[in-house]
Amino acid sequence: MGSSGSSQPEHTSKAIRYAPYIEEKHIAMLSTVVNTRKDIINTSPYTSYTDHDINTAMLGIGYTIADFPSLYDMFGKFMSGYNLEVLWDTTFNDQLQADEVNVAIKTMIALSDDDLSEKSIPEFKLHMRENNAVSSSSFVINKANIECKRTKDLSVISADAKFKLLPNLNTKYNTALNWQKGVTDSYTEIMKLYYLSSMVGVDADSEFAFRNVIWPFTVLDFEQVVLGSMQRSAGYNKYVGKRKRSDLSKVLLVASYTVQGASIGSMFPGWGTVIGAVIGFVIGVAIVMSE
Amino acid sequence: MGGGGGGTPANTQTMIRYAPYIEEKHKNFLATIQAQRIIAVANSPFEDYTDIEVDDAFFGVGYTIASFPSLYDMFGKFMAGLDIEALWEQLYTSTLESSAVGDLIAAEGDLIDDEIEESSLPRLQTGMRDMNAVMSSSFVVGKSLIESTRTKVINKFSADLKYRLIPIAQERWTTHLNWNKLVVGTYAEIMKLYFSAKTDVDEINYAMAAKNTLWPFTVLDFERAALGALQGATNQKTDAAGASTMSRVLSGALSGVAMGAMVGGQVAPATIASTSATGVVTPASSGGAGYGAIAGAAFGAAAAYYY
Repeated sequence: MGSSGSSQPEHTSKAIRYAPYIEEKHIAMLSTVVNTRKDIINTSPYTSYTDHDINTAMLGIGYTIADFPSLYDMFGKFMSGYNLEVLWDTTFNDQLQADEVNVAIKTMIALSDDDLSEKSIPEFKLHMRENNAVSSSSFVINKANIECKRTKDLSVISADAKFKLLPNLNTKYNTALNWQKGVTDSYTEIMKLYYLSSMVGVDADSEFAFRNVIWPFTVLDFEQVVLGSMQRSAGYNKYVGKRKRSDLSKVLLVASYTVQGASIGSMFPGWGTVIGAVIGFVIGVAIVMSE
Repeated sequence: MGGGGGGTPANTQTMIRYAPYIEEKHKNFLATIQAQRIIAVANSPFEDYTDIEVDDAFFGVGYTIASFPSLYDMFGKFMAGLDIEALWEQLYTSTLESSAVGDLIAAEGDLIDDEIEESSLPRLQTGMRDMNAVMSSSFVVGKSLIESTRTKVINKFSADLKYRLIPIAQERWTTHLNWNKLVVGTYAEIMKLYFSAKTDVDEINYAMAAKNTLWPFTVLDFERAALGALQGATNQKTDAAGASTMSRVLSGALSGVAMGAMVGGQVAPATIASTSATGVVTPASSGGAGYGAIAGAAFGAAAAYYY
């Protein structure tokens, strides 16, 4: 090689070879891999994947989330802009001015009237007649007094019926306000769910689309590994990867579930908070352990 | 090797070769990879991705967060700047002197009037007519007795009603204050949700855009690994370049908020705790679960952050 005084580099060739039986087996393996690759390279298992249709499921066919009232709009309608005075007046009238209330009062006084006309007045007349006092002013006044007493009875019945309904005012008022807040809360939860589902759906859809497009490379990866199988570092990719949660994140996650459990439990007086916290803690630990 | 008498070292190159069958297979393999690369580079799975929209859902089309009152503004209006004495006077007056109360008292008068005119007076008049006493002074006195009773019972009803409405006005005031606090709390929660959702959605939108832009390199990475296959090279990633992982989405701030804020407050329990003999309503205390929800949300968001 080389001649005297030449500036051309000298080439040395170093071929890496292996024992004939190894090379023979390698040739056979490569042929098998190539044949298998040809069979499966165009048959991606991901072609049949159908994208998540979150919008249709949550919003209806052809609708987008912009077609529905915004969250701030709902908050304004059901909470910050809600007219409490109108609600109170409506509640007051619904409870105390209901037709059924007056019907009940009239029914009660009708019973009293029956007693009056069938018993009290005939007895009164009888006594007046026996005393020969029917034509006297006392008869007239006393008869008027009977009617006055009837009017007072009517008033007592009416007041009793209506005053018994007063505690319902705040019950209905509070229920209506809780409902208004419940509507806003539910709308918020639904929107939260929509975005979580959309993001998870989009991530899954793009992941499967990605896997479908790179399917040929996934298959060729194995051939590549077989080609370099004589090298120590060769190895095919693991197509399942998972991040590991940090210790701090584990502690915070468990704390999150514990506090949530306690807050839910606090709705039940007594030991509810403690029991809720314990349950939340157990759930948090279970989730961390199962990850 | 080397010329005679030269002092300079020989310039040599070493070529690593493999068995001819391996080189041939490798050459074919590279050709296949190249063909697949040409197809795949032009077929980005992220090209058709449509950004997830947040602002329209939260604020309405054409609006931004700046179009709405600030959180501090709402806090000032519903809490810090609220004159609770003026509110008490307003609610006291509207509870005891509202048109609804006036209407109820008037209706009570109408009810009694109806009964007097339909039952009491006819009964009195019929009896008096039978005894030819309609023109007597006794009849007039009797009639005025009934009218006097009517006035008295209506006044009693009015006074009694207003007395019983005083504790109700008190509870209404308490409810109103709780409501104002809930309005501010809910506004804060909604704002928190907005920023959480915006952060997570931005992350996924931009990740998809980055994946699409970097797609050619994602594909070329396979070809790079194929070129070095005989040196044991592999492509290091099983995900597209510029990607965020699914776990990032699932453990994002939005899901942290969702986990934590699942328990909301209430104005007051819907059932009345107790009613005294005079009809005085004892308000039940409202739950404090909202604080736990906020703490849970904070822990959840922190857990996601430190994932």
